[in-house]
Amino acid sequence: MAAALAGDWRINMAEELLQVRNLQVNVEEKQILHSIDLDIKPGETHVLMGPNGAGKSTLGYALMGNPKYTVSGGTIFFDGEDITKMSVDKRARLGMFLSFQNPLEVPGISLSSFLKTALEQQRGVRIKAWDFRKELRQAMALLQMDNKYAERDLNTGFSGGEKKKAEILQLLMLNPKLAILDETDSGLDVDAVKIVSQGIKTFQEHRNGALLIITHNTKILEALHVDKTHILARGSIIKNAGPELVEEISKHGFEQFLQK
Amino acid sequence: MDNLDKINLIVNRLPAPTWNRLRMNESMLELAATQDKCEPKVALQGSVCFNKKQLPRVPGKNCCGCVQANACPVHGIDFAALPTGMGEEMARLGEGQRVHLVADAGRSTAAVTLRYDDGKKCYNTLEIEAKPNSDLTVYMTYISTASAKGTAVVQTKIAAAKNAKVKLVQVQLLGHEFLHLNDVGCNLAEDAHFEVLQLQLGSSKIYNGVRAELLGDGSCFDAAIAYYGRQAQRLDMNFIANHYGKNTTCNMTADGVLQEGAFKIYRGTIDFKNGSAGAIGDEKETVLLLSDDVVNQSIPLILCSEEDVQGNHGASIGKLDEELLFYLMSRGFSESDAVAMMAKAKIESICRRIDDEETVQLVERYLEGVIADAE
Amino acid sequence: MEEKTYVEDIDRSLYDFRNEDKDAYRIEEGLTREIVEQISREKHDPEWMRQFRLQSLEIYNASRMPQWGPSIEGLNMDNIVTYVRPNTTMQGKWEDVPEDIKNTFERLGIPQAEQTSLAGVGAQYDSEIVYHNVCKEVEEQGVVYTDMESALNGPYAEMVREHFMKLVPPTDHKFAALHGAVWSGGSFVYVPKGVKVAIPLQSYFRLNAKGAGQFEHTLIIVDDGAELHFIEGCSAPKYNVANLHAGCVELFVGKKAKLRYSTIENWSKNMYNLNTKRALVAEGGTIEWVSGSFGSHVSYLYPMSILNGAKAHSEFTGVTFAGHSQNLDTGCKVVHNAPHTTSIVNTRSISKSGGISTFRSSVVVTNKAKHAKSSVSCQSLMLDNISRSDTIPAIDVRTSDADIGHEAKIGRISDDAVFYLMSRGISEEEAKAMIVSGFADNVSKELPLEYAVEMNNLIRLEMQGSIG
Repeated sequence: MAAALAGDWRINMAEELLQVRNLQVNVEEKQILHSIDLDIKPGETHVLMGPNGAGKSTLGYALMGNPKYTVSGGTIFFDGEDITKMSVDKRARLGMFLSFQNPLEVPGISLSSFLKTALEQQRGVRIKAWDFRKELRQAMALLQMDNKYAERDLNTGFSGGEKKKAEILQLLMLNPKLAILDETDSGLDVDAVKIVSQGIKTFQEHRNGALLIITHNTKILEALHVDKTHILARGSIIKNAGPELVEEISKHGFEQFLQK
Repeated sequence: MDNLDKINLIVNRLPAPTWNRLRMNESMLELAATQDKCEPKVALQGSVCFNKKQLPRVPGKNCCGCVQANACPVHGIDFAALPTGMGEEMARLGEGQRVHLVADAGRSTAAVTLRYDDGKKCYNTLEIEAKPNSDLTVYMTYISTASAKGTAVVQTKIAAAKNAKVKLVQVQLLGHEFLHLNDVGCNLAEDAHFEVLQLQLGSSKIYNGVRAELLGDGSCFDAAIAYYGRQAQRLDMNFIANHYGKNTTCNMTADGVLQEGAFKIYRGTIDFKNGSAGAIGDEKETVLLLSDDVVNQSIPLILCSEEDVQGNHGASIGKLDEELLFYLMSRGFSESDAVAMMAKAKIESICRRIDDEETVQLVERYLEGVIADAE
Repeated sequence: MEEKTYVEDIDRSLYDFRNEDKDAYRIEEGLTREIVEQISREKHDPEWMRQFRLQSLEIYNASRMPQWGPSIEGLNMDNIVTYVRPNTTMQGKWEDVPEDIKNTFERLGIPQAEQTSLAGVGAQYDSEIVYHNVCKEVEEQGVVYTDMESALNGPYAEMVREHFMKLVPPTDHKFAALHGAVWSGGSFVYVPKGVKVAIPLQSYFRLNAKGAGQFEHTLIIVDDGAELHFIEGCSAPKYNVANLHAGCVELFVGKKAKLRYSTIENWSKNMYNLNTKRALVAEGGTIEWVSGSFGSHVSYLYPMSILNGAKAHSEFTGVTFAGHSQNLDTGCKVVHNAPHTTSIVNTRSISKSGGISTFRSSVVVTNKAKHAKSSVSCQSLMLDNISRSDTIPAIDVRTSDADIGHEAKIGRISDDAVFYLMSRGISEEEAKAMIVSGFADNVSKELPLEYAVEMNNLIRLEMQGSIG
């Protein structure tokens, strides 16, 4: 990984789906992220781990363009375009997706009509109700979600687990190029983790989507193929490695890496 | 002082006034004294019928001491004295064209269509006696052509007897130059249930008052209103839930959008009278402000003289929540699309509770017109 | 000779009589020009103040009583007039002080000497010395802390004149006009630029033996970058023969300055407390109100913050306890009149033994207040079936770029909570007192320890039903 980064990144640009260089991010007056470098190729699965408060969610929000997080330095390239100053919805339409740790309730709009409209926005054409319903049912079946959720107001009154599943449902339906999953497993029971993991696996294998999985718990990764692992601590990436790092952390935690 | 062809009324009074300087205690309005004849179209289904028996009226007298939700066998129900949201002064307007319905036990529906021609000043009263164990849904639609101008005054008074269920759906789709007064009152006996859904989408001036007297133990009041304030509309509302009986409940919500110089005042009162032990009252208002020239006034009251109650009210006013906007944009919606979607969602929420395809379609068509105008 | 001097903007709405309206009783006969002139003479007022008092008297006579709040029919204006007549010493006799007041002093552990002074029957002694010591420390920082009369005539006369009743003009309401005509006593505080006053200044030290604090005027100016904590009142009941308190507090908070104004009000249960408190906050400034209302027969009390500079901030934390025969109408008002202003209101109210507590508020956001944020939270606790608790909040927003939230709750003491405490050996009465104290902790935790302790003692006494 280090060798790849050292090279002239402009040459590699066409190959990389996401290219983050020297990214610095502030929240209000405080600097949270210092000089982050990150490369994700199409279809790759990266894991971002680290202790609480390290800034992992901040990275997710900054990549997606949340206005609360100001980029005070560095650049973000996505699918060949400089998105550092791009608006949130444009990034979404370019193919980026962020699954929220605490998905918001959107009363007055059903899950299905929300998804249908979002898809139509993305593809630029009206979608036949029949086709859409079929796709939606399949995805819901995969996630073992009861059909009635389709007509319920988005996330309104959903339990924590149901909200997370609904996020993965949106992931499968919107089919982005890169999905950033922010602590998707937090608050889920063992069964739910399995199901959500299955959903992510489907995205990984059948859709060839790239993933940036942010987590501080390795449970969700057990069934997934991982390409690269990064450790974020106190706003900086302190270690980059391959999938073996996940096992290492699962057995011995991060402590050993934090001393350096 | 009224001159020959105008009446001045004070309406939508707050049950407990506050500082006069705020000018929220009540509203004054002026309207024409002359009234046109306007016959509503009424279609009935199930165990509801027009009241043929014309019982003598004894205004203001509660002769048997019976609770004013159950009919006195001698005098019937004194609808003239039934309190309403807009207040007592509405009585000065008279009844106009009166329709009186009686719903017997069992399911029934009444579809009341009020169609207003250009230039008309119509006054209508709808009186409903819901007998014990009746289950009545009333759909009221107020329509006119888009360019029509006029005055539409409608009073709806309901006496819900023991275990009666009344669902009142009021959809106002009048032309943009209308003055609209919509006054509702309901007396509830033991275990009675009154649900009112309102969509206030048309007219330039809307005065809307809804009042529920939860007289009988266990009675429930559920009110939901959605509005789309635009083009300098004035929306003037007064909701009152008086809890007298034990274990009574109320839930009042008001959701809307304001833009283009609209003015809105929402007064919502939950009053726990002494003796209403076990009562629960909830009141919630959300207002989305879309342009900088709007005026929003909110005054949610809780009055209480009973210990064993639970009361809650909340109001949330301003622009679209930033987190929510980010969430929607992260799914590919542009900012203006996200805002339009959320604005429409408030109306959709009410539409979902209107169990009538035709009425909902009317609303959708009307909204398409509104959105087309805006673009 | 009448001149229209300091009262520029007479609010016409005050003169807006309705035909069927009659004042409950005629007050004018109690208070005359002669009396006001005499007061002015006795106090050696500068000429502008004499004029001001007379102008205020006119406004007072022309204004009507408030129609929307608790009745003040029992207000005995003759007694007031008697008081304001100069040279009257309001010291009564110790025998005349009601039993319950005397008992309260005992329970609160206040020594005899102080008791008599608090009751307005004796001179303060110990407090005089303490006061002088505090003064020295604070003087060294350049802080000015004197009584209002001295301030009017001393080196800060100009500053006082520029600010006096500008924030609360006599036209504001009838009792502001009364105050303008007969005000007497009170404190003037000036904190120079950048000075942070470490110890709280307390108005207790300024209590005037002559029938203390009926119409005191407090004027505090905190200059840019300065900081001050001012504590008004004390928890011991102030016994007064005359039963009207129409004080006025005007606070000017400079740029990036901070002022905390704490009050524990426990006037005796015969008092009509019609107090007006207002703060004007400049750019980046902060006003924090901490307010505990326990006393009075009738109260009208709504501290108001006017956020006139960008990023100005107001925080209001209050608790009101209305017991037997009390009708306490309290709350707060905030006006957002500049961009990025923020306000937080957190109040609790308790009603017991037939008391009536009303929370009355207004949040006004003008079109200039872009990006304003306000959050109001009020909770009410009903302790029995004979009391009342009303919540009357008003919100007026005139810009779309705002975030305004409001919530209110009302309920009773949780049976589960009482059961839990009792299962740990605590008596029911004590358990309820603990719960109510806990409920009022939004205020007690903001007070200096001695005050918090006294406040909790007060609550305990109220809960035992031994007061009133």
